[in-house]
This record gives sequence, structure tokens and C-alpha cells, in this order.
Amino acid sequence: MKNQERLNRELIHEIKKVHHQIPRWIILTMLLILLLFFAFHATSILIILLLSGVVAYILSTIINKAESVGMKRTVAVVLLFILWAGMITGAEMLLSPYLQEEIKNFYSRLPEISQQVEQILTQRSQDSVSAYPVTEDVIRKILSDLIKPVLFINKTLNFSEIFSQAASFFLGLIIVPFFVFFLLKDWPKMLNSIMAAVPSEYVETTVSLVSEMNILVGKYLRGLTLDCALVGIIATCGLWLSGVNYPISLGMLTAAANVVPYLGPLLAGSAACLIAFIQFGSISAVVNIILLYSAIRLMDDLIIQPHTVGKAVKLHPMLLVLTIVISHKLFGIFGMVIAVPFVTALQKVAVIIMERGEHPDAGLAVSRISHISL
Amino acid sequence: MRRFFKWAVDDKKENEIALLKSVPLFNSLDKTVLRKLLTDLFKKDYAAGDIVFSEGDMGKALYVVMDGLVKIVKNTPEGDKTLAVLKPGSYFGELALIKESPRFASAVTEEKTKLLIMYKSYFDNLIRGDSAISSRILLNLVESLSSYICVNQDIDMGAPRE
Repeated sequence: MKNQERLNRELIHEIKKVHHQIPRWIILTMLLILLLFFAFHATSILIILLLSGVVAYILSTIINKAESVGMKRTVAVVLLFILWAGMITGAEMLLSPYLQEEIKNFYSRLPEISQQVEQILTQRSQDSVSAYPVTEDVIRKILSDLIKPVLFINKTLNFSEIFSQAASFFLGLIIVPFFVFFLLKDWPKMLNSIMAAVPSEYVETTVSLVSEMNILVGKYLRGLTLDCALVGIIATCGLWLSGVNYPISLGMLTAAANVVPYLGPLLAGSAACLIAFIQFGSISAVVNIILLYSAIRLMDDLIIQPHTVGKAVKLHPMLLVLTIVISHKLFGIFGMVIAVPFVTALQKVAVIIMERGEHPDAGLAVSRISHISL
Repeated sequence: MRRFFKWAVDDKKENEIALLKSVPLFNSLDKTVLRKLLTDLFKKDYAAGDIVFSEGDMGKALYVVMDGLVKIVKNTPEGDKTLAVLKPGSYFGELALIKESPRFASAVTEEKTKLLIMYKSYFDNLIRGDSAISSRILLNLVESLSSYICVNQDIDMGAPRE
């Protein structure tokens, strides 16, 4: 029996030594390549899985709370879904008439809007040319560059494309809740089977990694959701008070875009500015919107974010640009919105792994211990 | 009222909660907190003879025996010495919650065993988030540590000095 135990311990020593011989960056690079390869070949299913995982993760807090007051997990999940459906129906009943009107209005007026933009810009350019004749060529070039995308959008918005995008959107709308439901309901069972597969000598390392990840990533994702919701509500109220058209759609866009730092608020702000410019045809309206979005940005950076997301979890600017470029290339705009928080969370995981690399004795190295205390 | 909501109440965990209540470390914590611990903490099934941790490993987690038996073994010049055999309701590795330090002895399962694992960062988070729960657990921890000190002092006093 004692010999057997010694043999076991020696075997574990050997396994740990081999584990230390493989540099961590090689494992990480291999994982990243594998992930990119998978992402390249199954982009849409990956997005759906990622989105389901993120939603389930955020909702798991509520389910865990319900479970800790003694409710059955399945009952809690079903109740949450009924509540969710109720809230969506309620929100639809309240917001849908306005939202539908906004969207219908926008699409029907699109040709008119593009013409208006063209007219306003041509008018302004003529004024500028008459004031400063030297700039004529430059202004004409800028103008043609500006008008081109507007006309392009107008031409490419055909119904088959809208229909196919809407179909995939509604497919996602059905599949994501389906995945979320089962992820929430069966997560403890899944976790148990994962834990059962972990060899006993690696349990502490696994638990440590998952625990730290859970605390940091959970805080970040929940904070981000709250942050985006608050920014969206403030933007909607601000736009509504300024009398700009489509305040709800623009507010929702601002909330979603807020996930992508720097670029998101800039894009949402630009869209709001464009709408205001078309509606009022004056620079002062645009300035008002710029002021509104700057105020929202400041409020978000100084007041909301420190309380929700916290300053510790932020993506490095270089990594952020890389993420935006790669995810946009791979998954499009929707993928970009999901990729940023995902990579931010991944960065946190990498930091935890690196920290463990710097202190390899954390749960692994037996041979280096020279002293023992109680 | 309670009968009406019986379909929604999770009865299966009652045994595990009763067991957790008997753990000295979680003494006087209410049922909601125990349920929260049971939901949040990791559980792992071990086969007989599995090494939970080895002497000298850096400790970062506390273990509660939910089912089965765990033997605590210390390596001495005379060979392996069994310090204790822990039954359901016992816990070990509690020092890891205070400070990451090398394990004083090894823990090996005697039979098929189920352990509940509380990791240090979870405990730290609990201290930051819920002071009432953590101060209760800390107080229980201090009590258990003070009993160790008493036992060690008795051994030191009784042992012949060189």
C-alpha cells in the first residue's frame, strides 16, 4: 500500500515535470490558432454559441440566487424565461409602435434623405466655393466622396438582402434562447462532468483558474451589460429632449455600440449627428448632438463605468484595434460587438495564467518547496 | 402556503445542507447561506486511493468531506504516519484560506469520496462582499486554529526537551 502511494507520487512528479517543460506561450498560441481555424470555418454557429454563453453567464446570477433561497433550478429557469417573455412582450407593446414607426419612416424616407443630404451638401459647397473660390476642387472631391456612400446604401438596400438578414436574425432569436435555457438548466451537471474528467492532482489548479475567472469575467460582463443599458437610456432621453428623430433606435444603437470602446460611441454619435443634420439642416443641431454625446461619454467614463465595469478590466488599446479588425473581417459588425467583451475576458484569463507562470509553485511545483509550515 | 409551493422547493439538497450545518466551520450560518455555498462551490468525486493533495503542495483551497473517508498522512523519517481519518462533515486544508502555504501533510481518499472545494479567491470575494457571512466563518476558523495551538502547546509541554 505504502509502495503504491510512493509510486503514485513519483508518477505525479513526472507528470508535473513534463507539464513545466512545455512553455505556456506555445500552448496558448496553439489554442489561439485552433480557435481562429474553428472561427474561420464556423463563424455563425460560433457567434450563436458565444452569445448564448454570455447571456447564460449573465443570467446565471439570478438562477443561483433563486437556488440559494431553495428553489429548484429547473423551476427557476422556467420562471425566468416566463418573466423574460413577459418583459419582452411588455416592452414590445410599449415601444413597438414607436419603433416600427421609426423604422418604417426611415426606410420610406431613405431616398428622400439621400437627396436631402446631397442638396444640403451641394448648397453648402456652393456657398463655400463662392466665398473661397480656391477651394472649389477640394470641396467637389470631398462632396463626391461623401455622397457616394449615401447613394450606395440607397442602391444596395434591396428586399432579398434585408429578408435573408432578417431570417438569420430571427433564427438566432430562436436558437439563442434555446441554448441559453439548456445551458442555465444543465450547467451544474456539465460542471460536474468537467470536474469528473479533471485528474485529482490538477483539481486545485483548475478550481483556482475557474474561480478567479468567474469572479473577474462575471463582474466585467454584468457591469458591461448595466453600463450599456444605462448609456442607452441616457442617450434615448437626451435625443428625445433635443427633438431628434428616431430616439429609441438611436438609443439602442448607442447602447449596443458602447460595447466597442472608442469606436462604438464614435459611430453611434456620428449616426445621431447625421440624423440631426438631415432633420434640422443646420450645423448647430449637429453641435448640440456632439455636445450631448461628449457629455454621455464623460458621464460614462467618470461616473457609470467606475461603478459598473471597474477600471481594472480594460482591453489594451493595441489588442482592441486588433480585435476589432480581425473580428470585423471574420464575423462582421455583429461579431465585432461580441468579440470585444470576449477578448477582454480572454485577456483576463491570460493574465491569470501568466501570473501563475510567474509563480509556478502555485499549486503545481512540489520539488521547489524547501520549507514547511503548519 | 409552503405546501402550495412544494413543487418549486428543492428537497434533494436538504441532506447536504444538514451535513454542511454540522461542519464546525459553517456553524451558525443560516440555511440560505449554506445553500449559496452549496450552489457556488465546486464538487468533485474521487475514487478510492486518489491523492487530493500532496505534502508540500501550495495550498489554495479548503475541502469539506461530503461523503466517504479521507486519510491525512504525514511523511516522517520513520515512514508515512496517518494523522487522522476524516468522515463526512469534516474539513481540511483550512489554512489555505488565510495564506497560501505549503501543505503540512498529504490527503488521500480511503474510499469513493465526494468533496466540496472552497477556493481562496472565492473566500476573499466573500469577505469583500458579505461581511456578516465571512466574519462568522473567520470566527469559526480562529476557534479551530486556537484549538490547534492548545493541542500543540500541550504536546510541547509534555514532550521531553533536548
